[in-house]
Amino acid sequence: MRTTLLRVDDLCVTFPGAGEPVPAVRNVSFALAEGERIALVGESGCGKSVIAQAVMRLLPPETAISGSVRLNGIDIFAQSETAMEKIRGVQMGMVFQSPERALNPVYRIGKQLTDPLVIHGICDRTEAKKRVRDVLGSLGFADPEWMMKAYPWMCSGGMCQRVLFAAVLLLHPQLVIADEPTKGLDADRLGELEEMLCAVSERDGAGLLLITHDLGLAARTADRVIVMYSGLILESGPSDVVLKNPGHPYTRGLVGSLPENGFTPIPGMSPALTDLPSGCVFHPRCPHALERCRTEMPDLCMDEEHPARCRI
Amino acid sequence: MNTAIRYFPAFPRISWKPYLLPLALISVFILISAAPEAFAPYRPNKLFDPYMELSAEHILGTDDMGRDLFSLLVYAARNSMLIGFASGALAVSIGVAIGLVSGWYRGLLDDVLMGATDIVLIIPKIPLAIILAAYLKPGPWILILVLGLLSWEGVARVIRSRVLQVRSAEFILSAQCLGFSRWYIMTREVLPVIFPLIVPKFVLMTAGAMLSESSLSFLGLTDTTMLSWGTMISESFTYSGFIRGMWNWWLPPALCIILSILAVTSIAFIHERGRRVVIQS
Repeated sequence: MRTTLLRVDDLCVTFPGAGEPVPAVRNVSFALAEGERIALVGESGCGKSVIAQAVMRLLPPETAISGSVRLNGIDIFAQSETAMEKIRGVQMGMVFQSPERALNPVYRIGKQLTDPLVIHGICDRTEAKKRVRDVLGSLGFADPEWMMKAYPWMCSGGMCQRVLFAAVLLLHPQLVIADEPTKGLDADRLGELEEMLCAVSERDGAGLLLITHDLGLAARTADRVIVMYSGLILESGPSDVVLKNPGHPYTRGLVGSLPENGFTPIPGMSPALTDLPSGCVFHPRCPHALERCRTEMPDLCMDEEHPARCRI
Repeated sequence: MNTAIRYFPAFPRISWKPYLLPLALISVFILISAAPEAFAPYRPNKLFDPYMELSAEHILGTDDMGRDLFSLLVYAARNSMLIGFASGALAVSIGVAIGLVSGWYRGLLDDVLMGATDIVLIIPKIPLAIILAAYLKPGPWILILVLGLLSWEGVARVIRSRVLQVRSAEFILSAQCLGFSRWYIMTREVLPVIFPLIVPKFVLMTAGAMLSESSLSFLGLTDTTMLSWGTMISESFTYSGFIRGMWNWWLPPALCIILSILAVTSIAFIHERGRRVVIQS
C-alpha cells in the first residue's frame, strides 16, 4: 500500500452569491497516494476546479470552506498565508488551462522558469539556468537558448504548455494538479501531453490530480476516476472499471455521449447550484429515476473499490 | 515528445527615434538646472542698468532691477524642473503604492484606502495650496509636498482598477501556485504589467505640477524670492514688463514652460503608442 499524499475530507465550499449562497462543492472526500493519478471528471460548473483551488488554498477570503485538506499530514486550511507560500510550488504545483495566459507576458520565459528555483532557495541563478536549459531540452525544444529568450506571446499554445510543465517539473512537487490541461490544444499535441502527465508521476513519484472533461484522456492517463455532478461526487473507482462498467446513470450518460459510443447526449441541463433538485441531484435527467429518487439522496455506497451514489 | 519545434516570430525591436527630440529637450533642461553657472553669463543677483534692450552683453536685456534676464531664465530652470519632477514622482509613488495594496488585498483595507482617496479627491487643490502657501513658510519643498500630496488620488484609482483586473489573470494565479510571496507578486508580476499605465501618469502629473507651479507663482502665491519661470512672468506682469512691451522678459520663460511640458508629455504619448495594453483579461 502506497502512502497517502493528499487526503480531502468532507470538503464543502460555498460562495456568497447575490442573495443566497452558492454551494459549489459538497461533502467531497477522496485520497491520493504517492505516484497515483486521479482524474476528476464532470461537466463545466460541477466544482472540479473549485476543489483544485481549495487544495491550493487560492479561493477568495469571503468563501466559506469546511472539511479538511491534508497534504503529507499537514492541514492546509490551518496554515498561514506565509506558510502556504512555502508549500505552494515546492510541495504542490499546478498546471493551468489556457497555457498562453498562464505566463506573464512581460517576462522572458527563461526568467519565469529560473525565478521559482531562486526564490525557493533551491539553487543560485547560474545553476538554475543550467537546469532550465536541461529541462527545456528534455521537453523537446530543439533550441532551449532561444526559448529562454522568448516571450510567452511569441510561443504557440503547445510551447507554452510545455513551459508550464517545465516550471512545475523543475520544483519537483509531490502533488501536481493539472486543471483542464487539454483546453486549446491540437489533437496531435494531446499525445505529448499524456506522456508528460504520466512522466510526472512515473519519474518523480508525484501524485497527479487531473481535472478534465475529456473522458478519453482520463481513461488513458488516470488510475482512478472521480465523477462529479453539481458539486457532489457521484461515482469513483478505478478508471477502467468506472468508464467500462459505470455504476451511476450519469456516468453511463457521459460515456454514452462520447462520439465512439453513439454521441447520445444526456437530456436536459445540469441544474443551477442555487436551485438544486430534491432527492438525488441527477433524478430530473435520469432515464431510470424512480419515485424515491425524488425524495432521497443516496449515499456513496456499493463497495469500497467502486462507490456510486445510486440505488438502482 | 521529440519533435523539433521551428520558430518563426522575431524579437520585436523598440524604435528609439521618436524619443530623441523630447529626450534631448528634457536633457538640456535638466543639464541647465543641474549646473546653471555653466550656462548663465552672470549671477542672478548681479545688477546692471534696468530695462536694457537686447545686446551682445545681455542677450535678453535686463529687468526692472537691472538683472540679466537670460541669467535669470537659466537659474529659474532648476526650481521649475525640480518642482515638476519631484511632485510628479511623489504623487505617482503614493498613488501606485495605495492602488497596488488596495487592489491586491481587497476587502476592508481596500475600503479604507479608497475612502481616503475619495476624501483627497474632493479637496480643491489650488485653493488649499494657496492657503497652505499663505500659512507655511513658502519655498520649493513646501510646494512639492503640497502638489505631490494632493494629486495622487487619480493615480491610485486607475492603478487599483487595473490591479483588480490583472490579479485575476491566470499568470498571477500561476505565480501564486509556484509559491511566490505576495510582495514578490505585487512588485514583480503585477507592477511590470501595469507599468505602461504608470509612465504616462507620471509624465502627466509632472506636467501638471509644472503648470500648477507656474500658475501659483504667477498669482504671486509662492515665495517671491524663489526663482522660477512662473515668478519671472509674474514679475514681468507686476513690474511693467507687459506695459513696456518687453516680450524679452515674459516670452522666454513662457516658451520654456511650454517646451518642457510638451517634451515631457510627448514622451508619454510616444510611449503609449508604442505598446498599448500588454494583456487583455
